[in-house]
Amino acid sequence: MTENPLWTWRRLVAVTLARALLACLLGLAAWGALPALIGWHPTTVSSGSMLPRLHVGDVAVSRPLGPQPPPLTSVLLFEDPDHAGRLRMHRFVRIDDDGLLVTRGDANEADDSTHVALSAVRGIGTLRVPWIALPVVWVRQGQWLDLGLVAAGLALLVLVASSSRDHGFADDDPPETGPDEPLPDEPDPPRPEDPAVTSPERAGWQRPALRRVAALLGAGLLAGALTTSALTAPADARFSATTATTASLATPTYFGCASALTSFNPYFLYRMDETSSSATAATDSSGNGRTGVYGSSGKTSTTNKPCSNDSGRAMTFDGSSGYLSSPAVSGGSPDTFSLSVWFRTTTTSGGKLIGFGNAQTGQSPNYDRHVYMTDTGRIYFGVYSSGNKTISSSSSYNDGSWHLSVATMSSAGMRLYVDGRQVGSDPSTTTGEASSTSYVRVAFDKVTFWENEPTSPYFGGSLDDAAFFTTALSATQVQSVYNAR
Amino acid sequence: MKPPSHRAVRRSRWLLWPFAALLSLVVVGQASYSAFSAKVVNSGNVLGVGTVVLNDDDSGSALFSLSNLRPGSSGSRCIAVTSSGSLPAAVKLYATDATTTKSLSTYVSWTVTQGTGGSYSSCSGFTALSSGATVYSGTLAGFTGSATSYSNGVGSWSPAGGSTDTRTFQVAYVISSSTPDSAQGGTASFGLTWEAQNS
Repeated sequence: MTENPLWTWRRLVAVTLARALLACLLGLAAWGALPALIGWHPTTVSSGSMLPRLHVGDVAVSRPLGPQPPPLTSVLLFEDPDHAGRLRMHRFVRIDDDGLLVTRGDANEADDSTHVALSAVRGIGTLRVPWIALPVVWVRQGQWLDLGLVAAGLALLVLVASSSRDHGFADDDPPETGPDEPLPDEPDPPRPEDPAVTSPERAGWQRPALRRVAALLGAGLLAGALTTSALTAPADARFSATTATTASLATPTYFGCASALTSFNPYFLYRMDETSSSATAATDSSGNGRTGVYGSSGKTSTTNKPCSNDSGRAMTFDGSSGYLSSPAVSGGSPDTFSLSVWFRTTTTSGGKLIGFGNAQTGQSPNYDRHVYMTDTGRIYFGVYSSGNKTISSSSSYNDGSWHLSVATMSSAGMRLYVDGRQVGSDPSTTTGEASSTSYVRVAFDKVTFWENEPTSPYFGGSLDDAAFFTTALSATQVQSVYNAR
Repeated sequence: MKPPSHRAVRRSRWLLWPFAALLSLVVVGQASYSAFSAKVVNSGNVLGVGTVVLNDDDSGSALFSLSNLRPGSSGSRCIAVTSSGSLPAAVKLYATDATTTKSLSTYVSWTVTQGTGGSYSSCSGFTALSSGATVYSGTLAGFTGSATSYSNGVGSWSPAGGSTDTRTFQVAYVISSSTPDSAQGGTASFGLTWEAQNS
């Protein structure tokens, strides 16, 4: 013992400083770890999106949410909505329309894209213990050099702090204890009333070996608790950035002419998509199952159709025997109706396009409410109402192109549209000749005695989409059929 | 100078505990105040910090703005997304604010393919990645319904950071040829967001 070097002031200062630093580090660790005992939530900050408020390696301690919602601009610890099982610590900036919390990293340029529910919030950031968890971050990121340097520094501090026990005293007070007893070798967590210091000859607690073990144990436990809590729940303060564009897709009001016609609830709709020239059944596309009847000859199917947006085909009638008839119309000839058909021809002998007659085949004894083409290609709409009432187009349409004719009658009178535009009207004719048995005739029926009577009752040319409505289509509806081509 | 007495040494030992306790209290208190005081709101843009930056080449225009789509209509367009942050990141694509009327989006098949080359103005030069090119393939309704945030977003692009990295996404649609008339006048509109988060 006597060979121990004596204390010097310089050495005393060094030892005291070293101990103070170690004690301070332990104090910080205690700040980081001990709040967990009262249910607070320490986490390691593992990325820098909350800079400059939170740094990587800080331990942030969050207190649990009270009954009140967190205040705006507080920093919240919450379950990361973008990465299951991880925590995020960002600032609470506002509440969105759905009542979710909008958060944002201070260093991010925009709010977090996914908003979080209040139930996902684990706590409000309250304590920040700077840098203390840096070793944890270094271990995670493999920065072994930094880790080694700090470890070496710590070892040096411990060395200096524990060097005291090799020193004796110059004063002549008899040593109260063994020469190396009174000085703890490792700093302890703050424990001011260390009982070991003053009284000699106490039991084991004051013996150096035990004290050392106790100190090491305390420091180890603290560091362990801190590391565990920090490792198990690192808080990611995430950087994020977005870039965006938009897309909008829209379909037209009607996919095609037939779709438009269908949407107006026709009594029948013959799309004339049959490919066989000997077919006699004309499929009704209205959904009403009113299958029409073709003449067994005098027609051929064609791919030249009026509506490029429609699937299917059109039918060419020969002008001498081909025709199409509907089954009997229930209730006979109506006074409110629309007749619609597409046509394409270069004929100079005209013919019936579409109209009512009281026979399904051959020439009907009674025939009116019909649309026919004259030899010059003009379109006529005629209704027998105490005499022949007609309205007509002034232009000719036997030009080899597809045209749409729509005739309507109702209490508002007669109207004739060609290619979507009204070409004639007669508001005073609102009823036709009563007929209890009635068929819609297409491409052929009697036209005798009508104004500008065509040479041929048969129409020679292509037809498509013959439809009969028990309503009068509006001008807008007619236009939309034409526009959907 | 007289060396320190036994008494001085003992006192020094006593002094350091309050000192250490006080110091740690001051450090934690100061740090906590500056970090969590509600009065402190930062404006972002911290220099010298790692960043995640993402841009695209659409100049603010829509990728698609199409009307009059009919059954069988189809088309595609490219958009080049550039990451220029300093941190490694994972980029996800997801839809935002998706709305559809008349169930149109269920009749739209939707594919997103990643590759290189091509740009917003033209897809010419676009080459799909040799593996993992398909980012999404399904119906538009499936895409806008399942990819709604970063966490369920699609894509596998992970720029390493530190240098500029560009990837082109080719987005293609087909309006099903069996789309019923009930989808006439239907619309589907949505935002497409690419989000990068540091990994």
